[in-house]
Amino acid sequence: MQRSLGQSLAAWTLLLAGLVSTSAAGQAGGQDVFDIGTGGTATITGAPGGTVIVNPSPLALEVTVNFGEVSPINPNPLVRVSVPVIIRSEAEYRLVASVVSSGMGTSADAIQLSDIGIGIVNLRALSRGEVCATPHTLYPPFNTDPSLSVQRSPRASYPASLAQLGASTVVMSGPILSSRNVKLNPRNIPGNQRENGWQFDLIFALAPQFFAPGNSSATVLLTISQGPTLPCP
Amino acid sequence: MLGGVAVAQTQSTDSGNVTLTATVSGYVDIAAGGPITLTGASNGSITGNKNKGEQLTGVTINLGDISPVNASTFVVATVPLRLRSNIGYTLSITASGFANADPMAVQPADVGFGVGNVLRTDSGVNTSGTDTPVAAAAGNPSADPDGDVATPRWDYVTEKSLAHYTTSRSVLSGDRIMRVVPSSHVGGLTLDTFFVIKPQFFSPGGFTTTVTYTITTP
Repeated sequence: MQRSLGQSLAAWTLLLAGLVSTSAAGQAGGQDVFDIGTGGTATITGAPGGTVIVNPSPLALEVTVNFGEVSPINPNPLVRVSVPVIIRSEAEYRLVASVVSSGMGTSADAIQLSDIGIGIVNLRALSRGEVCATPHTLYPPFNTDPSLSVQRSPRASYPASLAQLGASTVVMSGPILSSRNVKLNPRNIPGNQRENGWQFDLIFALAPQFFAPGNSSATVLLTISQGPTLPCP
Repeated sequence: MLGGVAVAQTQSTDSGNVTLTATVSGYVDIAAGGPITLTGASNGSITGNKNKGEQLTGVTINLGDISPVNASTFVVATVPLRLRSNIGYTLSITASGFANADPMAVQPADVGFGVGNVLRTDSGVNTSGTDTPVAAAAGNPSADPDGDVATPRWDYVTEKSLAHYTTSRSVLSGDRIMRVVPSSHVGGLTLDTFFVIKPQFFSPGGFTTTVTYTITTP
């Protein structure tokens, strides 16, 4: 394709203008970066044949959990999954969780969203994370390990379950997570930014029971974005 | 290219996801429904008796002396069972190892068998389900009349003696038993199985047979 020199210069000018504008906004706080990614190896216990697979890229949080067999063929009282999650931000944040898809049995005796417990525990700053006097907030009932607070009455239940994530639910919020002296690069996290945030363990629990036979699935989406104003003195 | 870099620097929100899957297979189990009881026996005994929920293996019932030394009308062993399932089920039994060449000795046909007291009353049980015993095998055979009054030997109807169960046969079937409860739950469908002998002038000696209960999905 041929174009005149004048047309080419005009195009470059527009691109440069766009770059300057975006960069300036980010430094001013209008386009603060928020990032969520994997914190390393996830674990699963009490699940013969169960698996948990984590995309190893620090740029993404993509986890696939297979609880395995959860009829009484599984003799364990509980299947527990722990997924380490790292969050980074250049400003106050909030973390929203929702169930974006599910394939549960239609029978009330099949696995339901309420049969899968969820909780966030062990929130801690990484070595380069920003530590403010303002505390982070884990919102009840999502602030407990469901595997430690399971109720059997007689069907197992938990303080928080996936059934409570039908609509987007704020599960956590707090002040800036990452060092104020470092500009985050969300799509390219170098080694020196790997620890520039906070980490928590996302826990899932499912008790093997006399569920109706079948296969079940659900996808939980976690989204971090601008949260309520919280100074970081 | 420069435009692409500019977009990458902007990330006012970010998301990740966790996909969860689980599998539930059809499941059935059988266990003791409580201790076995023995009535009408002379020097009879039970070894390895079980409590409710315990695995029903290693139990021996000695029906004692079943010659006319025993003045009882019947010797009755009642074996309670507990069944659990997350799907429809069938219960079968088979009696093996019974061998007495002398027709005047105790034969499989001399041991009455029956199924009764099928209940879905325990907690955690699907009370809307129904159960169907094989009609001819239902009930305690000690309550039945002589199956063939034309013979002096005491007879049971065909489906109510162990002679009918030298090969595995269904005696009970039904709907899903349990509601959604953990496997540690002790409750389940309960029933009694009966083994009965009427003391008679059998040839001296003894017999041994092993009865195996099997629960399956249909």
